[in-house]
Order: sequence, then C-alpha cells, then structure tokens
Amino acid sequence: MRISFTVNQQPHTVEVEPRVLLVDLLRDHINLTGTKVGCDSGQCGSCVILKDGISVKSCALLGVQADGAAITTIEGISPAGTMNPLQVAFQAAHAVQCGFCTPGMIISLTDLLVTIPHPTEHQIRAWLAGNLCRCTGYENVVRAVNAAQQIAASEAHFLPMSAMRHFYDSYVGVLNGSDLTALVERYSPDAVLTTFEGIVTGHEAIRSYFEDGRMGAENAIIATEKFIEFGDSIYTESSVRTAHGLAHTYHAFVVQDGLITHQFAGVK
Amino acid sequence: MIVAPGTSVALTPDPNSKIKIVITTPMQHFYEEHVTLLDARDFEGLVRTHYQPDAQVMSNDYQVRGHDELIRHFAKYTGLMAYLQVISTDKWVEGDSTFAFEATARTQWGVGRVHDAFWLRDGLIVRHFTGAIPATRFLR
Repeated sequence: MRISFTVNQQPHTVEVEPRVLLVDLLRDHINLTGTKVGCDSGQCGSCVILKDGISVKSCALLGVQADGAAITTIEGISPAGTMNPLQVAFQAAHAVQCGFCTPGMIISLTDLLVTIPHPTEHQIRAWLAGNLCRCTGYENVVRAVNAAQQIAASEAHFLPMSAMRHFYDSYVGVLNGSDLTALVERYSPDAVLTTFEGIVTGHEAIRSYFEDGRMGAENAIIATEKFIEFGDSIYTESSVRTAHGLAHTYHAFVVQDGLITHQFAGVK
Repeated sequence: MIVAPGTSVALTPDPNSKIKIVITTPMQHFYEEHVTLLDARDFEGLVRTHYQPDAQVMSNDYQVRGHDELIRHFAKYTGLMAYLQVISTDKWVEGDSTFAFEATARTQWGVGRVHDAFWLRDGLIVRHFTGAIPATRFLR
C-alpha cells in the first residue's frame, strides 16, 4: 500500500506491506533507528513515538495506520545537535543508564508534560507504567521530569512547539546539515542577511555566504539558550561550535509567509 | 539602545573589525538623530518620526508593537535605566534597508556591550531588535 505521512515535519510517501509494524517502517524504511524495539509486544515502551502529538507504542500499530498522520520520533523532538528541556534534565539528573529505554521515556514524558504541565510524583510514576527500565533507574527519571519543568519555565516555552519554533528548529536542522539548497529555500528570493561581515541580498548571495564554511558540522548550532518570538519575528541566542571553539551568537529573523525576509546575526 | 541626558556617541571602529565605519552615510545620520531624540527624551518625536505605525521593538525582556506602545515603552525603560552612556560604537554595518551596530556602553550596573539591528521600510524602522550581555557578566 502507498501511504503518505510526515515524520519530524518531513513529508514521506512510501510503499509498505500491510503487515509491517510502524516501528519497523520507521527504523528499516526511513532509517530512524532512535526508536527502539524491546519486547515487540506492546509492553516495554521503548518504541514510543508521537502520532499526531499523542504518545503511542509504535510496535502496536501497523505502518499503514500512520497514513496521513504527523509522526514525531526521538530524532525530531529537538533540532539536530540540540536538546530540549527534558533531554537537558535527563542528562543533568543522570536519568540515563544503559539508555535503551530513554527514547521511549523522553517521548512519553513529552506527552505527559503537554497533557499535565505540572505533574505530581504520583502522576509521573503512573504515566511511566508503560515504560520499563531494565536498569530500574526510575528515581532519577522522576527527578529529571521535575527539573525539566523548571528548565522549561525558565525558557518560557515547551512542547508543543509554535509554528515559529518549528520553523526555527527546522532551519537549525538544515543549517547543521549540509543541504545548502534546502537552507537557501528557507529564505525569500529578496531576503536580506545582515552581519558585521557585510550584507547579502537574494538567494545567490545567501548561497555563496553559506558555502563559505558557515554551515554543517564544523559550524553547528549546538544549543539555543534563548528563543523569543513576537509576531513575525524571532530572536535567539545560541552556542555555535566552530573550528576555533565555542562561540555565543545572536540571531534575529523576520519570517513572512514561511520564509525569512530579514536576518541579523552577530557574535557576543 | 536606550540613552539618557549626557550621552555621547563615539564612533570608534573596532580595530579587529573589517568594517570601515563611515560617519556620513544616510543611515549614520538616521542613527545620530535617533540618539539625539532619545537624549532629549522626546519619545513621541522619536517614535512618530523614526518608526512605522506597525513597528516592533523586540529584546530578551520586552516586545512592543505600534506607536503608542513604543512611546510608553521608551519612557518606562529609560526611566528604569538611570542612565546609559555610549562609550563607543564598535561595529557598524548598513545597507539599503538595514543597519546594525554593536556598542560599548556604561550603565548604573557597569560597562557592557549592546547590540541593535534595524530594518527600515520607506525610511522608517519597521523591526528593531536589541540585546545586551547581561549586566552581571560585565560588572567591573
């Protein structure tokens, strides 16, 4: 059967046999192996993904049941190279031991914090009844959820992300990758990019600007510490890994009709 | 950028910057007029002659839109910040419709860096982004 759906905001149309499980479709056909297969029988929760924003066990669904759906896997829960507040909290609270259950835990708890923004410890533990940790590291997971709420509050936003946040995260993902064409397509044809190295206008000039070693793994945004949106505008402060070490940068964007019309960038 | 009476604007180029600062460009004149109006605390004049009716000013701390909000914002924010003296404009870049600068400034909390970026439509600001390194990081 031919089905169409989005995975981490990217559209996919695939031919899939009706018997194929969603988890296998994601792992084997779309090569997103962050989603784990543990029990393969709907018990352990290692394969949890978001389907239309709701956490589900992807080994308990057929791939064809994803037709028309918006799927989010652990790879898409935050832009490439960055972590959302829950992931930061997992790291800080040492909530990861062998790590096999972690993708499912993160996805499940993302749904929890959207459904119950300030859960009690009892609610956290009850929610995690469907996620088994063979290392039995539940205590630190509960601590991480509490810490994540504080981190999220300090940044004044949390999932589900706004359209502007989605746009920004997608932009960062493309910037951190090496798809120059996809990056340039984020800009309007007459976009203006203003930096202290100069001002460039239009697709060709912007392409040349980024071709000159300003994208990809060697120049990646590894964390966005501040993200503020207002109307059609975004202001961010980010840490960027460069060949010369870590740099702290600020960016301002004007985004109209889904395209960047103006961007300002500087180094703190 | 907010300034108060007694402000001086020194267009000192950063020796490490590749940007050559030209003092007499139209954007530079616009910027100096901007500072002069702030210096005079003429917020009404500043907003109505320098900002489009739908202009936005955005920073970490505040986001305001439209003339009336901007006038109230400039009056309130300048009042909160006892003074801000621009010591030097360290980086400057301008084009047909945008300009941006980084400056070193002194406030009641110490000396630090501020950065501002502007997009102009028909000669008036339509989007203004501003930020600073937190005061606690530059107390001296």
